[in-house]
Amino acid sequence: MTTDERVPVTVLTGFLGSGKTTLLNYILTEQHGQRIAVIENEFGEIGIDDALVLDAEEEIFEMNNGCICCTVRGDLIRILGNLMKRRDRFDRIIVETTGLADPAPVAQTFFVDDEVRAGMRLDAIVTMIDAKHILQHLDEVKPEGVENEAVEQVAFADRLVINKTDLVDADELAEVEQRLRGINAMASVVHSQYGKIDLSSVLDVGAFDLDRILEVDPTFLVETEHQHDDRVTSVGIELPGVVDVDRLERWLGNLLATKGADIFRMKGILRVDDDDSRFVFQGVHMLFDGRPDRPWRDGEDRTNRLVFIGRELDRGELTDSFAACLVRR
Amino acid sequence: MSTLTDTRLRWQRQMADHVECLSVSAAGQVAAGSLSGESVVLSIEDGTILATPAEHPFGVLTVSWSRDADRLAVGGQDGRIRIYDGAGGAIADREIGGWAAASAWSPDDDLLAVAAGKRVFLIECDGSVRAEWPALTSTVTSLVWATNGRRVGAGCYGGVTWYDPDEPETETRNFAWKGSVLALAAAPSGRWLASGNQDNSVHVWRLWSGDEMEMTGYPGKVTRLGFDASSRWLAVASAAGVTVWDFAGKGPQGRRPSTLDRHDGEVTALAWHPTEPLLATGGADGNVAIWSSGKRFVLEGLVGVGDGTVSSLGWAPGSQTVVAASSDGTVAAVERAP
Repeated sequence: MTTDERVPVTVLTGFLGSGKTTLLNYILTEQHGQRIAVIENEFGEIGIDDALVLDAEEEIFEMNNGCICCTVRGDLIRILGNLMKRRDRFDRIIVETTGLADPAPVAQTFFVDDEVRAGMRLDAIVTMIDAKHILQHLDEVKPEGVENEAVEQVAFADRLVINKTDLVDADELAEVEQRLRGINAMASVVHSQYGKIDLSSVLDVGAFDLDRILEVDPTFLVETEHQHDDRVTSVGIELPGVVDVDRLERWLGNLLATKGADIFRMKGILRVDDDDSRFVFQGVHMLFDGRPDRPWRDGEDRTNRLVFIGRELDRGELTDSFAACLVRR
Repeated sequence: MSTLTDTRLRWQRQMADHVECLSVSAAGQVAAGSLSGESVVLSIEDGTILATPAEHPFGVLTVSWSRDADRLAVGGQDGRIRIYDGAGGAIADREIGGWAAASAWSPDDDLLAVAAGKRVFLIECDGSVRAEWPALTSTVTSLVWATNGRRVGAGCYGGVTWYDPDEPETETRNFAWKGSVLALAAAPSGRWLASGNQDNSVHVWRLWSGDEMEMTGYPGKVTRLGFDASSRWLAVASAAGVTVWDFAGKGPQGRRPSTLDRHDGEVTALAWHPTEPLLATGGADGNVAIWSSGKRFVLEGLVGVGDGTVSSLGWAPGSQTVVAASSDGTVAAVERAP
């Protein structure tokens, strides 16, 4: 197996006041022995010890690739492209988004631009949650056609950091957590106070490595009653069997063409044909990446596992249409 | 008739980091800027250092010689543009805010256009600012002068803004197009303007009429393209080699491009000779290829210039020498056998 030498990138999202900057400062001042470049919106271009903090003004580019929801961050393509050329490469890059940012263009940047893809890998989208105010943000009613950014940021996350847990009691915290899981069952949840956290739980998450999917809380695979009328939910599919690659490609192609705008994130580990290796795929809206992964280990459970997070997902339909890609049960 | 082996490496020099930009003057001075922040002026004869411009912390992004070799502009990620005379003497040092992503002297050498963030500045050769145009909607990636010096174009997301340097206050003409422009080329004839784009395409405008056409299907984003001195050929570098479009007569519509592919992997740099029918290409394989263009394109030479990816190429005017810069910090001069 070859190791992935691409520079890991952590995308840090969260509403204003959720504690992103506090976490960032904590990461930068902790002793971790890594050279970190931070791309954010407020500071000028200055070096802090071993870190380089770069200023970026969000520039959203629509791509002319026939994909209606494909937007990327033009400023990130430029800055990441420049960072990658340097001999003195960074060990890690953190991209902080503005409080109201839609995470999709950031994530899609890592799928669309060849240079970025070649040199960097999206390690995880980490979303900071203000325990005290998140429910209010999630419940905010938006005008027709306008997204609730808080819901999007939760839906896109690989890791949810519930911050300011000292400001809520145990019941409130449990309610917050349940609500977050209702939207995004794939992300793992960690708690923090004053932005202090075990750095390994937000850096080197390897969420886009997909192994994480196996560690996901299995409860989300079961249909749960909706506590709220959330339109954004997670659907997990777990089915044994062997996947026919042609059928899979046709299915995903159709699915993304018709539902891509509503599917925020998807991941899967599949047993394909009679390959000895796992087949992994992941996607953001209409963009997806599928490839053979490491070989199955002896005795490893070869059940196909897929997760979709999106708007108005039909669990039954997704499960049935995936089942039709299986060649034997 | 020369053979492949006649093309030779004249000299090689090492800089501290990835060489991002290169400009060769008519007097044989090679300016090169590195992402270490260092820039140098080397002699085309043997690569000796003629001058060392001041450092630009975080990296040099643009160097450009005026055609009369009397002015050198160096700009970097520190948001500064500096102007030097032909001997390396400092003339001006200006803060322009934002990365100085591109710079280009006007054909009559009296004005420097500089892109900084979303703005384009027009600077006189004494360093004073003639014009500072209002911010565009996104960051300017590329600049190009019309050969007659009457217009300067700025590429960004949303198309090309076509400024009039003589009347900077008047409304500018825009070649709007919904896409992200990464590189620009103007035909010396004044007939065509071409852009290389993020969405794996080349967009072309007929300047007189504003008519547009598009070449799509490149395997990656297009960052390197250029018209030859005769304005007949537009060369485009990509992962699938170099495609050369024939702009004779009514233009390339309905014609198949020639494909030049002698690099192992992606073609990452190209430069047409300023006066002769010669094209230099550089690749991720670290090689520089020289092609002559006539009825067909013929490979004249292929020389390795280091272990890195060739990032930039520039011909020394009036000579048969092309200078190559590389991601491993190499600057090298390759001479085509006469």
